[in-house]
Formats: sequence, C-alpha cells, structure tokens
Amino acid sequence: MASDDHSTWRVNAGFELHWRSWGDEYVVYHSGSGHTHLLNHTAATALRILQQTPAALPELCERLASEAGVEAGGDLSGALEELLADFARQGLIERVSP
Amino acid sequence: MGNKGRERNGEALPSLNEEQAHRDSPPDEGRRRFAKAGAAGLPVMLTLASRPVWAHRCTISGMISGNDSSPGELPCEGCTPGYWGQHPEEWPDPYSAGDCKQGWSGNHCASNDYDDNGTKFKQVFTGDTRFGEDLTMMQVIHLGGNEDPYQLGAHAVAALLNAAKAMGGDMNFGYTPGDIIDLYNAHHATSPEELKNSFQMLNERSCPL
Repeated sequence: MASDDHSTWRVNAGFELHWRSWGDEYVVYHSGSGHTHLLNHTAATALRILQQTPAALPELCERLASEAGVEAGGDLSGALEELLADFARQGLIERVSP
Repeated sequence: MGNKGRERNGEALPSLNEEQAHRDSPPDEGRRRFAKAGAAGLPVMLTLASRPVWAHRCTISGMISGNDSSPGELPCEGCTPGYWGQHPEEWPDPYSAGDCKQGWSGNHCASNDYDDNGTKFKQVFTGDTRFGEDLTMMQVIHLGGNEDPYQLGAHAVAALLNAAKAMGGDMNFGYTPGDIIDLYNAHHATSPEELKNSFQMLNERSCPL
C-alpha cells in the first residue's frame, strides 16, 4: 500500500506506542501488533510528528526538514513516502478521513 | 525527543530478546543499511517481529511434527470465534468488542448486535480488502457466510484475540498478534479458504477461558 501526496496520515488511534531511545536510535513497541520497530532519528521524528498531529506528505517533509535537521528535497520526499507506506503496512499510522 | 532511558506510558515495555527476534535481513546487512541511510539523514525503519521461545511447539508446524504435546507440558490452546463472539468481557487489551446495541440479557447481547465503538477490523488487519472501513472486529465475528466467505474474518479475529491472550500469559497459542496480522494481510486475498483452515486449526484447540 503506497501513500500519495493527497493523503493525510496520523498515528493509529486505537493502540499505544511505547518508546525507548539510545542516542540517535529509537525503539518503538506497537501494542496492537506486538511488533517492535527500530527507527533512526529521522524516522522517529516523522512518527512523533504524526503522533502529535495529522499531516500529509508535503507538510511532513517541511516539518521533518526543520525538526530533524535533514535536507529537504526529492530524496527526502521519496524516502518519506516509502516510510509512510511501511508505517501503514505495520499498522503504525492510518489515513485520516476527509 | 532524544530522551535517554525508558519512557513510561502507564505500562512497562516488554523486553527485547535478540535470540527470539526475527529480522527482515541478516543482522550485518540490516545494520549497514540502517547506518548508511541514517548517515544521509534519510528515514529508516527495521521491524523486529517477536516470538516467544516456547511458541514453536504450538504453531502449525509444531503440531504437524507431533511436538505439540509432551508429558508435563501445558497443552496448546485456542478459543473459537463463537467463544469470542459471546464473551466480550474476555477480550484482551488493546482490542475492544464495543457495546451491545439492543441491551444485555445477563451476559448475553441481544441479537449479537454490537455498535461501531469497538476496535475496527481494518485498523488491525491493515491490508484487508474484504470488509468496509467501519466494520468492527466483533461485527465481523457475527457476519453471515455471504458477507464473510469461509468465515475467514471471524477466524482471523479469533486467532488475533487468542494470540493477544497468549502475549499476556493466559494461553498457549503459538503465534503473536503480529504473526496473525501478517498472515492475514499476506494471504487473505489469494488463499482465503486455506488461511481460514489454518486459523481454524489453531482456534479449535482446548479453550482455557
């Protein structure tokens, strides 16, 4: 399942995420699936942003560039689109109904 | 963000045991990809699917190999969709059955008619292509054969709840909720009857509840 530029995403409202971090690496346990995910700083920041407020891909890119200190641009947007698809496949995020 | 140490959210984190974790790729290759992408600032996620060490005995392959029961060991267990449909009070966190629309008669929900407040099927089985967005897990259990061919949805819900009970130590089921979700997402469209048969085999073992 791939995300698209027009979808707004948020962390799946039905389940809790439990976080732990070591330096720039983050581990998050998803209570719904029982899976544990290892995220780097950028991916963790993206998930944290969606945990605070729903966002579509372009807005998420902007906020990520600002908050995670990564360079905005095509590489980030493409990588973020793949990440959102991964998040959705793992049940971490869901589309927000318009 | 960037806090060191445990973040408490009302619950303790389960311990990570790398011997039990299944990784998507060999550890060195995964870690190299993780480090390389991380160095460029790009987002990366690796998923560690957890499975208790004891669980293999109660899996389908464990049962087929005849290793599912030995003297002194607890039997493998599972409860049916019918059980979960009649016992919303036993549903394990974080899954909710919702409320009975027509009112309760003792512990029985009249007409098995549940509202939309329960956990949504698609919220859990994120790859599902069979049901509508708003259908809850409890509502799926009570669908008829036309709406839920092979009763695959009902057995998937039962298997998930059994797996969640096992995570809490209340059942020897053999799979984690993540396993059941992954199995359903991967096979429900291409092999619905076979998948239902597999879930049914797991769900129709002795129910300890």
